[in-house]
Amino acid sequence: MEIQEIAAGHATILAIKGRIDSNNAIDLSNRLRALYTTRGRLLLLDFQEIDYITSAGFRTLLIGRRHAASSGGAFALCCLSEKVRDLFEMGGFMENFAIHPTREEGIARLA
Amino acid sequence: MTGAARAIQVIQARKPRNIVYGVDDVPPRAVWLLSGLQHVGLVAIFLLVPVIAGRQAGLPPEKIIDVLSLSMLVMAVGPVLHVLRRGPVGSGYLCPPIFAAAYLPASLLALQAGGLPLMFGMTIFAGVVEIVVSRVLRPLRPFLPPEIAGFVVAMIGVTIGLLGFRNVFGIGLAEPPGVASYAVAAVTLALMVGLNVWTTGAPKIFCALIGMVAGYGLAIAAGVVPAADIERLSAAPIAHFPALDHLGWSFDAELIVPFVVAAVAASLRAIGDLTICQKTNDADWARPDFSSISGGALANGIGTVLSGVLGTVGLNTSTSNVGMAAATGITSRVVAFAVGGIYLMLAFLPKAAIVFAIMPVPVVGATLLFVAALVFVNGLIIITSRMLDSRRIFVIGLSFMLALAADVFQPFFSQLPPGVRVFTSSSIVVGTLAALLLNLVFRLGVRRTQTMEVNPSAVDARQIEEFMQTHGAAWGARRDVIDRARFNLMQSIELLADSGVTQGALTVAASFDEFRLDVRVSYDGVPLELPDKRPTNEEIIASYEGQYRLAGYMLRNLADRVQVNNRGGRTTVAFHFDH
Repeated sequence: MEIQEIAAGHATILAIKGRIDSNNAIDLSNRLRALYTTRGRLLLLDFQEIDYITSAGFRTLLIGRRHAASSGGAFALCCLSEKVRDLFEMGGFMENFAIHPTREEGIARLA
Repeated sequence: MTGAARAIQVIQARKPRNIVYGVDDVPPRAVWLLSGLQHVGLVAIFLLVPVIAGRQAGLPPEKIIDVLSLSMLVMAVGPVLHVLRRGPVGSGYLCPPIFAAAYLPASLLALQAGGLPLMFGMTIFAGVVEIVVSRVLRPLRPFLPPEIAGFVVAMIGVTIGLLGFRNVFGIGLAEPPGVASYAVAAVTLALMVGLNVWTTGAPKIFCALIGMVAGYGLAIAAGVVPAADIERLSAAPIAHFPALDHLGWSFDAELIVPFVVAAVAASLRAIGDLTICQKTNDADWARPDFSSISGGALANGIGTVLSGVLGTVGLNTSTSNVGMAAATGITSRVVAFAVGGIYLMLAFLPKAAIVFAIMPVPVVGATLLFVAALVFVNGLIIITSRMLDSRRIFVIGLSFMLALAADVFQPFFSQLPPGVRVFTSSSIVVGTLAALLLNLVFRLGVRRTQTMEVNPSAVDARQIEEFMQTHGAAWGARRDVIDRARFNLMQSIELLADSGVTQGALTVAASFDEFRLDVRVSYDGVPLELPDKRPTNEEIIASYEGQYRLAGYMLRNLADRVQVNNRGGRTTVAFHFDH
């Protein structure tokens, strides 16, 4: 998994590439925790280049969302491929996260 | 499968978004009538095929009118046979047939050898061959994989496109058609494509008809319609009841081979055309349904027998028509009755039939180019719906080259010995035979079950991914099914490794046939928990236990069926994926 951090106005984009599984979920978790030490952080996770995400990854996302809530920030996702969207649906996560079709829309909604 | 079961299968298909009136929808009367007219107009030039055969046989003009009328009667029955669903006859789809180009070379041979009676008799024989072939298509389906059906569709697209190009640019004519003719073709094509791309509603669904009518009008205004055609139109009677006294039938064993080859080529083309019909009407299309294809091929065979009995050229499914149904978004079965009704009317109104049959060549060319673009891309989509390994790449690639060579290097192929030449009569026949043969050769040595060992303390995700990708491509499995199986495998191995259920090596076995993919994970340890109720978000966050239960829940849901067995401490989790 590779994570690229991009500043987009008041928001921050994390463009993640590869797979999120139990081998690397901890890296993403640490990154999210560190980012939310800043209060009011608006974070958009771009999943365009995510191949798949396992249960360990979903747990990390839930924890990330909790960090956002407790630090007065926001947490959203964008650009899910069809196969990754299937995994979100299968795990019952579509209603749990703010999911946007494009980066632009995600940023606009976060602002 | 019974007729009733076939009906249910067609109805259950999910209508794609671009289809305005699906196979079971009943559009307003004006829409289905105009749509029927659009279908008849599209293939109008082929109505001249039996006229050409009659002229070759030296029939006097009044007898040619009889041939044309009886041909229209056959054309009236054809689309109705195709939309039937009860019993073995019919594909259940809007698939109007047309006089088969595949039969022309064989028919001309018959005309030379024994005149019209021999052509009619051999056409009946070819229809019987088509009927026999339609009955063995189902058992042959492992040898007719979707990528070959897609290849046939793409090749048909190329053939139609080349025919369109030939018409527009007058290839083979002594004199080029001239600027006015090019302008008619350009306006017709631009109108059809423009209306299809940039409009909605009536202009979009009748784009081909509007283009044809406008092109026809422009051609008359520009003087592009040949004087001979105008004479033919004025000479034709308004109403006419066909006489049957020119009919007669004979048989010649020496013509068996060319007619059998033509019948097989027609059947293969039907597979391609009906595959387009199925895909056009089903947003979740995965593979050709051979029940419907067999019914359609049988309808073709019966239509061809009828052609022979009533004295015309053999019938075959028309790719142009199924392509246009897809382009305009009207695939409703009731349109077939409109098409049949129009042909029935034309059977007794020769002047009206001639209006269709003399449609100006640049208009026909532009219409064929419009349809060819869609058919060709449909073929590519079908090919790439499957994962292609090096075997399949060579099957498709080499067959495509050979098919093109048959068109480009015609002089070379025409010098081949007569016994070989019957198999190289057209690019579609050459390409399809090559693809079938190469597919047969490459099937050798492909194991249907593959296994690997995985060490849970050092899981190599890349190795597991490659395992599924490589074998999925060798089997020609669907990409989306392999993706789901790959995830299930990764998730189950992760779960087994993280939860400490097992310490020893895991054995992974994947087996495939065209209808299912099974992935089995075996290990020493207690069975995995695969709950049917999702843990709450709080439970997932609170402990790894919640995460493991989420993994089990997802594994259960992502496969179509899951079985867990434990014998003597060894557990096997089997994930079944419908394919």
